[in-house]
Amino acid sequence: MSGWRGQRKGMDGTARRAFDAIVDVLGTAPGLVLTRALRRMARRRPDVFERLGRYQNTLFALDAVDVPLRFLLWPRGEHGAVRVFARGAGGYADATVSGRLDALLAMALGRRDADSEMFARDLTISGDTAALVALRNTLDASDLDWIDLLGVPRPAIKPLEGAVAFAMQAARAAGLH
Amino acid sequence: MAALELVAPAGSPAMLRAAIEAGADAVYCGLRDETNARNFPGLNFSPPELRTATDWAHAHGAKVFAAINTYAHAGAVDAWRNAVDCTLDAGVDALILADIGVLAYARAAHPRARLHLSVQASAGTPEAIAFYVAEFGVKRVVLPRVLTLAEITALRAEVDVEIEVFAFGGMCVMAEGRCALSSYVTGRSPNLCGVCSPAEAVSYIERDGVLTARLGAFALDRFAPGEPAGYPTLCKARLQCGEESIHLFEEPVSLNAIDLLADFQAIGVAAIKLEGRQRGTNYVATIVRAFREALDGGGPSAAQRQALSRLSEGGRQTDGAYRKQWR
Repeated sequence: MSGWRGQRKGMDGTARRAFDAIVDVLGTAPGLVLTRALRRMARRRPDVFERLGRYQNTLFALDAVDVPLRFLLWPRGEHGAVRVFARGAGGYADATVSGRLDALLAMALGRRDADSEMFARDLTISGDTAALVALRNTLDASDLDWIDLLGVPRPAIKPLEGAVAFAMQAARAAGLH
Repeated sequence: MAALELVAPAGSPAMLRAAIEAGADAVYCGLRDETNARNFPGLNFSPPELRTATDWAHAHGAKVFAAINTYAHAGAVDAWRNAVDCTLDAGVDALILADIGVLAYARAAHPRARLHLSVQASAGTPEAIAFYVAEFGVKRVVLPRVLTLAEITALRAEVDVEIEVFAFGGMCVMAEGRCALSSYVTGRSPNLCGVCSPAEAVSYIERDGVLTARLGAFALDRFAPGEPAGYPTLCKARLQCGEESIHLFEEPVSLNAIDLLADFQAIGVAAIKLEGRQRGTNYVATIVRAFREALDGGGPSAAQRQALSRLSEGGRQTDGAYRKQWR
C-alpha cells in the first residue's frame, strides 16, 4: 500500500485542510500508529481474530463520499494493517462500506447499527457481503466496534469527532457534498 | 397458571449474556458449523465458548439449549453426532433437534439428555408429536408457525409434552425444514447447511441512486433512490408479475405476539421463543426486556410495543397465523 502524502499533494486547499484535520488527530504517519494499535489489540484479544476466521484476509475499505478520506483495514491479527488514504487511492478492496464521513464514524463507534444504516441507505456496501457479515457479527460478539479494529485509541475519539465535523464543514464549503 | 418460560436467541457469548441480563429464562444457541440453522459467518459458539457461556448462564439462573437442528448429510453424520456429544459435554440443559437420525443417536448415546423437537421438524399434529415423544422421549416441541390459537388449544389437549411457540421475529412461511428455494438459487440449503440466502451469494449494485439487491444470478429487489433497502432473502423477494412488482411469497414483516401472552398461558403453552440469533446484542437485549416486562407486568405497555416495532423487519408486524382468518 502506498503512503498518503503523495495523494494529499493532488488535493485542492480546502480538501487538504479537511484531510489534515483528521490526520492531525491520528498523528503523524497515521497508518503506522493505527496498525500498531491494531496489532496490540490482536495480542490482547486473539479470540476476535479466531472468530473472524478466514475473513481475516479480507481487505476492508471505509470510503467517505464527501470528505476525501479512505481507511483500509486488513484484520490479520498480529500481522494486520490499517492505512489512511485520500479517496480513490489505495487500490482494490475486497469489501467496501461507503457513506458520508459522519455516518461512517457513527457506525465505527457503534452509535448506529450498521444494518439499519445500510438499509436506511445512509451507508452502501459493495464487494464481499459475506466478509462484511462476518466482520459485523464478530464485532458484535466481541463487544467491539470498527473503531477498535481501526486502532483508534478511545481518548482520541472526541478530538476525532471534532475533526470530522470540521472536515465535513470544509467539504460542504468546497462543494464536495 | 404456570408462568411462560422466556427463551431468547444467543448468536454469540455476548448475546447470551445480554439476553440473560435482560431477563431471559433460557437461551438457545449453536456451534460454528452447519449443524444449526443460523450458520452465518462470525456467529455462534466454539465448544470452549459454549462451556464457559453455559457455566455463566447457570450461575445466573438461566438455562441453555443447544440447537442442532439441521439435517445430517447421508454418509457424513459425524458433525451432528459430535455436536450432540460436545454440547452435552459443555453442560447444556437440552438439545433442540429435527433430524430423526440425530434424535435416535442422542437418545441412544445420551439417554438422560433432555430433547426438544425443533420447529424444523414441522410437527404440528398430535400424531406427529406423539411419534417423537414415543420414539425419542422428546420433552418439548416447538410448534411450526402456521397454527391458530384454536388449533394449538386443540393440540394441547391431545399431547403430553411441553409446547413452545414463537412470539417474535422473522417469519418462515414455507414448510419449515422443507424449503428448497435457497438450494435452488445458491446451492446452499438452510436445512443441510444452516443458512438461507447465504451472504456469499448476495451483492448490492447501485446505479444512478437505484440499488439492486441480488442473490446469485437473481435480482430479488430494486430500491428507488432513498427507499429503505433490505437483505435479499429469497422468499421475501419483490418480483415482477405482469405489470406489478409484488412480494410474491411473503412480505418483510416480523411476528409479534406480545398481545397474545395471556392466550398462550391460558392454553397451557410452556414457553415462548424469540427469533433472531443473527440480529445482535442490542436487538436481543431490547426484545427480551420488552417481553420480560410484559410477562412480569401482566401485559404489554405502549413503550414495549414501540421498542419491538422499531426492530421489526420492514418496520411491520403481524400476529401471524395465531389469529388467522383465511385458510
